[in-house]
Amino acid sequence: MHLTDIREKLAARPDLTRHLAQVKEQMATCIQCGTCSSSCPNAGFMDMTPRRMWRAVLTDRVDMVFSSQTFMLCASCYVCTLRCPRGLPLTDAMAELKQVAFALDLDRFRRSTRFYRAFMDNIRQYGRVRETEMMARYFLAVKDPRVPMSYTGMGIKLMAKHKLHPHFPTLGPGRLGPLFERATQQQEQ
Amino acid sequence: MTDQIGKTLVIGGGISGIRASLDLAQAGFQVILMEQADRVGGLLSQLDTQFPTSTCGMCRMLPMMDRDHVDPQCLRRGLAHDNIEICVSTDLISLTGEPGHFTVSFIAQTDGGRQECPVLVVDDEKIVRDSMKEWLREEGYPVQTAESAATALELLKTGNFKAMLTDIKMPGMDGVTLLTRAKEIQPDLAVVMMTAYAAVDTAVEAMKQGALDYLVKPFDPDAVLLMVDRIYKDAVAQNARIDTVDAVILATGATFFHPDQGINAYGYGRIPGVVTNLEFERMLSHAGPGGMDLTHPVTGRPVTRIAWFQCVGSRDIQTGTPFCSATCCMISVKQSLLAKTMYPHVTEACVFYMDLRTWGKASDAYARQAEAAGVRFVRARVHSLAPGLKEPDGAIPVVWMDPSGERNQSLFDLVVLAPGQHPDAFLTGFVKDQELTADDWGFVRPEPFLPAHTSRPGIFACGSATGPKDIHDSVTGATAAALSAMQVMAGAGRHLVQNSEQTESPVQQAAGISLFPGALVIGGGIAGMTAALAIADQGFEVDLVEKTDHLGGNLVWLKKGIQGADDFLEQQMAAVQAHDRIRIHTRNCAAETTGRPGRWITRLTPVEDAVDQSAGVPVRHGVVVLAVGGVEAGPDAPEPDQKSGFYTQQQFQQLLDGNDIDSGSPLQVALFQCHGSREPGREYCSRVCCPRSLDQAMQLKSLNPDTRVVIFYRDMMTPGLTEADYTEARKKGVVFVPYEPGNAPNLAAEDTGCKVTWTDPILGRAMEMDADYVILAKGIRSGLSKDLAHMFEADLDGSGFFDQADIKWRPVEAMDPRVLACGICLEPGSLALTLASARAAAAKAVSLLGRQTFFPSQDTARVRSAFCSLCRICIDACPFNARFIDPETRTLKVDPLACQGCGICAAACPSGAAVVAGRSLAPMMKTIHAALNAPL
Repeated sequence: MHLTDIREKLAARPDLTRHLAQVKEQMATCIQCGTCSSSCPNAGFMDMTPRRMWRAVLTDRVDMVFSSQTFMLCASCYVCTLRCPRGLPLTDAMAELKQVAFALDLDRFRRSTRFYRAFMDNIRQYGRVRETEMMARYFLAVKDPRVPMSYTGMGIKLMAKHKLHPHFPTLGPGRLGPLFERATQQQEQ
Repeated sequence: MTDQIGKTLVIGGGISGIRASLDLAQAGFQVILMEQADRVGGLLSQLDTQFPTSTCGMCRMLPMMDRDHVDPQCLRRGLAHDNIEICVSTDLISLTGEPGHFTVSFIAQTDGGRQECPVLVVDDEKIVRDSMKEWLREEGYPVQTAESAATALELLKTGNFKAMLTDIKMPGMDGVTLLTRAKEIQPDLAVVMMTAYAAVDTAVEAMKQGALDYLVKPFDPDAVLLMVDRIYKDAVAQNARIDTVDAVILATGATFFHPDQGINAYGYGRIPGVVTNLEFERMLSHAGPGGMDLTHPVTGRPVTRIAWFQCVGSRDIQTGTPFCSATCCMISVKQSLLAKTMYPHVTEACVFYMDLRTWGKASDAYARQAEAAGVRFVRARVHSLAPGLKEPDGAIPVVWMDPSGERNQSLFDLVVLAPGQHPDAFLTGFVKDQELTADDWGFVRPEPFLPAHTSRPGIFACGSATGPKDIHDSVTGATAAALSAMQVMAGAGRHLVQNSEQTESPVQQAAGISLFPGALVIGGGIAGMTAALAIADQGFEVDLVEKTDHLGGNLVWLKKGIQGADDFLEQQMAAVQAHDRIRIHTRNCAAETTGRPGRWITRLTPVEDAVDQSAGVPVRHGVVVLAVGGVEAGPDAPEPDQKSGFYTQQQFQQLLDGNDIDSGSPLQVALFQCHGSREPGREYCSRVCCPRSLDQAMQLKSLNPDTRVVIFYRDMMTPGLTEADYTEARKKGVVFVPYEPGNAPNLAAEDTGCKVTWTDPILGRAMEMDADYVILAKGIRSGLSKDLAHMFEADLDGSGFFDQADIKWRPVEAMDPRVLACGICLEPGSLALTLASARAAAAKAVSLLGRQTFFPSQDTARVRSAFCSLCRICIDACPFNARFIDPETRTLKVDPLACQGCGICAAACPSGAAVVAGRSLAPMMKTIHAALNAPL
């Protein structure tokens, strides 16, 4: 099911196919030693170890790549990049996979995608994160009542400790707009 | 005329240097053996044991002739030979000239050497002062430090410094002012400015004011040492000894990677219990610091769990080492086997590896021996180590991930790191000074098809100076380098040291034996031709026998697959055919031989008449070189044929060379390594198939980049610098799939092509491909027959190759040094290795034939003819065929080249006529008596 779904979506987006090919090229000299996976602090939570992820990339198993949450769980700690004997840009490649996954807009990454977007929009707007507003926008964006429900317990705890501020202190607009634009431009180049 | 005696300078006193020196000395040339350290023996003097014998066999390198001229008999204690001048603790100052006339100047470190070159380091940062002091002290320079310019000036007034390294930016007086003041006190002081990158301009300015040079911070130790070495050499040049030599052999070896350099992920030096394999070797040593007790360095308790980590500073871009160090896998296999078998308290011995590189004919069986002894081999790379805080006894937790993604953890008392080999500072400096061609990593690059030649004529290289090497390849390469030096000396018209026979007593003269002057080379492939040419060039007659109707052997089909081999083969064939000392016998074979070793009369007959006892020509020869080659191993069982796309590596090479592959549309190709190799029946790695498969894979990729190429392998055997090809193939998109024996990919032949199915160990998924071609890498089978080997009292080893006297220390000869072998009947190997063994065999032959007559030495058995009744009991008892009855004098004689001095004859002789010096009856009985009564 996923296979045809992802393959079709990719076929419609030659830019993303190219992007994936670049990731594959970056990873070409991988020797599957597994240093990345054993050094990864999040590997225990991943459905697929980083090594398996790179193997799937190198053997063109895009179905496996995008049916996994592994790259979403990458915390960008760069330990794997520091330890890789082949000197491969592993953390960067994880980020590239994230970007491809966002651009593909696959259902299974809907929550992550919406969360990242709400987070970045918030930063762009204020120059910092305003948690309450960010979460509210995130809940609106996922369009799934179960999501806010799942956060109720945590919300009550935070409120009890006065960590949630329903009334926003007035903040002026942030000044990060140009920075974001520049980053987007550079990425396009 | 002493000045006409050939003389060679050998730089480096490790085993390569010793081997090359001994070969030249035996041949009768003079040698200066120069070594920076205070002893010869190099790395090997610290190793008690080598595989596959698990003993030290270094003394087997000692010459079989003129044994009395060599002392002591244990090479780990040192070396002495009449023709070798050994200069330890010696620095090379300069080397200029050309083949036949090099001028070399060198100085003993103790004699106006480094001790006479005190260095002053001035820096306000303590860490800089301390580390510089440490680096320079390690190299033998006296060092003093000063934290400010004022202190430095005080020191300069009292001390006699040769060099000053000073920081520029310091509180108080700055470095440039210090430079001016220092020059006032001592005008000839060499001053080097140290500066941050940003202040290079100031440093350049300082050079105008008299500074010698500058170093940019942060600097690496090698740059500092090269700078100080330069100053030192200039300062002592006038005291140096100057000599003239004809040729130079560079045998400087390599240095080990320091695991505490860089990120030091394994905590070497920080975590107690993390040691290098050399340190571990000393722990196992009889003469080591722990007296063989394998105890934890901190807790002092017996060690029970040991882990070995491979590829520390090898195959690692992050440490600037894209190559494999070739030797570390076998070192770890050996150490783990020894630990497991020698110490009952070692319950766990575990080797963590990426590819277990057991290349060569004896290594794989040895690794299986270790496995059978209970050593665990785990294919995983451990990412880093942290000290175990909660574990008792300071055990180190080791975490790794197996291919399926399962996380594992075990505790180990000791972690042994296997650090890789890197070029050392001396080599780097030498390569630069002499403008030698080096590879990207700093090792000397040999000239194509001349394994010992550097890009400078007259300067030869061997051992790890030309890339990481094991003992076997180093020893072979060193003898090949000795041949090259001999050729230079012969070309320059040099003489040998006066033959020693004139000094022998008449009794010894009578006991001497002489060889027929001439060599028989069996096999007309590239190994046989190379050996024949080298022997004939040195002035000896050669008979070259080839059973087919043409010369060239395997290189005829292989030549297009190796760059430049086509022309090389043409040249060699033309040279052999034109040589007036080589008689070529094609379509011939050696039918039978008569006569004593060294006085062989071998009958050559046409292949078709081999059965006819009377046919053929007799050839007299003093040495024999077996170079019969080998063939690609054939199928052990009926196999699908080429219709289904099945090809052997050789067949596919012919397809590629003939441009017979239609790659207009992308193909699917599977290459299958170790097909029938490294498993019962053929328990060795053929060493050539992995590099050849990589080459074929890359050719396919360059024909059509979209062709899908999958290589199924057990361990990619790309030792040393060939690792670069492995990386290149992955870059080109070749997919590599490891498999274990018993879990090999399934090949199902179809009408057109083959369906290959396998389970990817990392993806855990079933994969398949419809292969257009399946290429089976079957390895090499020796072409040496038992009959031929037995004809010359040699034998085959368990794998069917030539059985060497010692696989490491005497790699090209049988127990009888007159029986030599080279090429792939000796051992499977690349063209470069074949050429090295052929040249090494030729060197051995040349020194034997050059000497001609040999006399008994103190170590060989002697005969008291007056007591001898010619009963022949000793002849039957001698395992080395060293005793015979001379038909002319009707006396019993001992062949000094064959006798090993074992004493069996003395024990067997009923009348006390057979004696071995130093092992006479009374002392031997006393020794045995003492041994039996000694408390255990």
